[in-house]
Amino acid sequence: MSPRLVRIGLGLWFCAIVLFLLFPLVFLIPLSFNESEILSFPPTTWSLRWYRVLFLDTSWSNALWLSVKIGVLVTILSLFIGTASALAIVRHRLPGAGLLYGLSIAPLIVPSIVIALGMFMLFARLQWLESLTTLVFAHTVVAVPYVIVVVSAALRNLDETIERAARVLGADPWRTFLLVTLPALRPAILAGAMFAFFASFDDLVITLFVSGAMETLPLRIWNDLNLRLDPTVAAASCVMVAMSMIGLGIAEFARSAGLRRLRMENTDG
Amino acid sequence: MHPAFAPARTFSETIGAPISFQAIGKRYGGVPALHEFSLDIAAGEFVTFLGPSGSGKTTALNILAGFIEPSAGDVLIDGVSITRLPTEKRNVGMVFQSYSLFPHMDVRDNVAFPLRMRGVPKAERHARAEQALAMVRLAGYGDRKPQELSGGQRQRVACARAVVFEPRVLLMDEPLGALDLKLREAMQDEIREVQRRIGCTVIYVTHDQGEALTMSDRIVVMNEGRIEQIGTPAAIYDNPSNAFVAQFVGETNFLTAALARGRLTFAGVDAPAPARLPEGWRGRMALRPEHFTRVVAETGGAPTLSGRIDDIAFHGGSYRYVVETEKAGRVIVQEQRRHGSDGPVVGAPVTLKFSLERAAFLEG
Repeated sequence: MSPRLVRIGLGLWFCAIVLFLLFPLVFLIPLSFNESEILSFPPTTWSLRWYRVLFLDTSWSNALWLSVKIGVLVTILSLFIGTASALAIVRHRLPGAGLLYGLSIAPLIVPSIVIALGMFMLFARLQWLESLTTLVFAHTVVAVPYVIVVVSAALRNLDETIERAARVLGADPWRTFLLVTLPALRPAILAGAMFAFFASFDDLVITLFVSGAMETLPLRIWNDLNLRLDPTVAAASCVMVAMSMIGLGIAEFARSAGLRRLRMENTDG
Repeated sequence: MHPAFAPARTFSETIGAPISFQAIGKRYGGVPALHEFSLDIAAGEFVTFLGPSGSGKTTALNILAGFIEPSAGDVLIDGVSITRLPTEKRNVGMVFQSYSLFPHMDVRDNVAFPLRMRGVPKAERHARAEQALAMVRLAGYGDRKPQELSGGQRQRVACARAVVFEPRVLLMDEPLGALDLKLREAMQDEIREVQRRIGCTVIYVTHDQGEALTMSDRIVVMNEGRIEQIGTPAAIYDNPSNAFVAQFVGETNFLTAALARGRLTFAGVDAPAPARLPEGWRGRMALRPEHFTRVVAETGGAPTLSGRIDDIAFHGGSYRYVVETEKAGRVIVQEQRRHGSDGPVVGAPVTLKFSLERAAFLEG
């Protein structure tokens, strides 16, 4: 086979995979712009009606607002916990650092239904269900590992002599962290923040178990499916997809910008 | 007043501080990285720690910088113990092999960083950074990012950053290791020039013996965590105290020799013994490649080795060749080129003359 044919073949294969991955969106996006009250495909008349409902109907807008609020709090909390953990694991040569790292990213591997069940039982015993704090804590558990993974990778790539240089030139450990380490980690922290936000924003399983009567956006969609199912669901989904795409786009951009900078430092100009 | 907060000065006064390592020991697990390391360095002196990797030279430097805590002993700067002082309070400048410039700061902020840490106001620290940059011939580069500079320029920025706060002690950890040969030689001169202007005490770590010989006031040759020899470059080169030093610094030919009844015998030669050797001495003579002279016939009484020229390298001003001798194995010879005389020829028989006065005599 000629290289040209191979290239065309691979290109087609790639397109097929992307289509497969985006298949649900192919349905959702047109549905969300459908004028009709029932979820019918393909749509006959186009309108923004369901987006209006999404932002004006208080049950929907409250859910969206709650999700954003939880997401932001989870992100802030995860950044503090995750960055500090990465520093401890990578820079301070803790005994058993490898094991600690494995444990701290375990929530990425353990099925979320198991985590959710565990939390439900724990919080039920503590009578701690149905509060914003509970949800924030619960989501933070699954969000922190993303920050740890991304930040500790960046920290491993960061030449420690840069921090030593700062110390010997007069910066105490705290100023070294603020003025040298943190700026170098900024792209990784931004990427980690995006991952953490969407770990919370997208979560349904854990929320189902511990949220009580509080309704996040995914939960609102879920509840709607059980009740009546109107195209607002599709509109809400599209908003989530758009937010995810923008957020993960930023994260990916930050990550690759960080890598590019590291590469430039490691080659002589 | 703390020296760092003194008003800006011109780089001309002698500000170096004496340094004293007192029986420093460092172990990793059970393995000693540094053993009974004692050394006194005078104010303003340029001292090089020379040794192969694992010799403890970087460990000694890092202990002085405060990156490593010694297991035993004490380090004094200007007579004051700094062993318990955190790194940032030791007030020493340092240059690293990997440049270690802060990538998110421009050159000016990099150089001004130590001044910022010492609370110098912005306008003044920028002025002093510019002054330091001018000293390393990078005036006007303040707005660039480190990534936009070449390796040599980055290291000059690192030097400016290390001396901008006029430290009394400057540590350099293989600063030229990442640069190519030509640049390295130019930078050696520049570093010496900067040190002369500032007058700070310099400890320079390298595994490059040529660099050590060129730059240092004194060299500390290290191996396996111990000091092998301390001395001026000439003293170390001419009188290596043991085989390791002879081999590590410069090139050396070893000849096994023994002294009996006032005569020194080696490689089939029997010569009158130099006065400095005791009766019954046996050991090795170390002869530098340039100690040998190629002679045609008459030697005038000096000892000779004869053999065949094996391999010749042309070095511009000199030849360097290997002689396969009959009694002493392979001998490396360096010969100055002289106008109007024939150079060495591969395969030609050759007689080498040398003087025992220039040889170093090593035990064992």
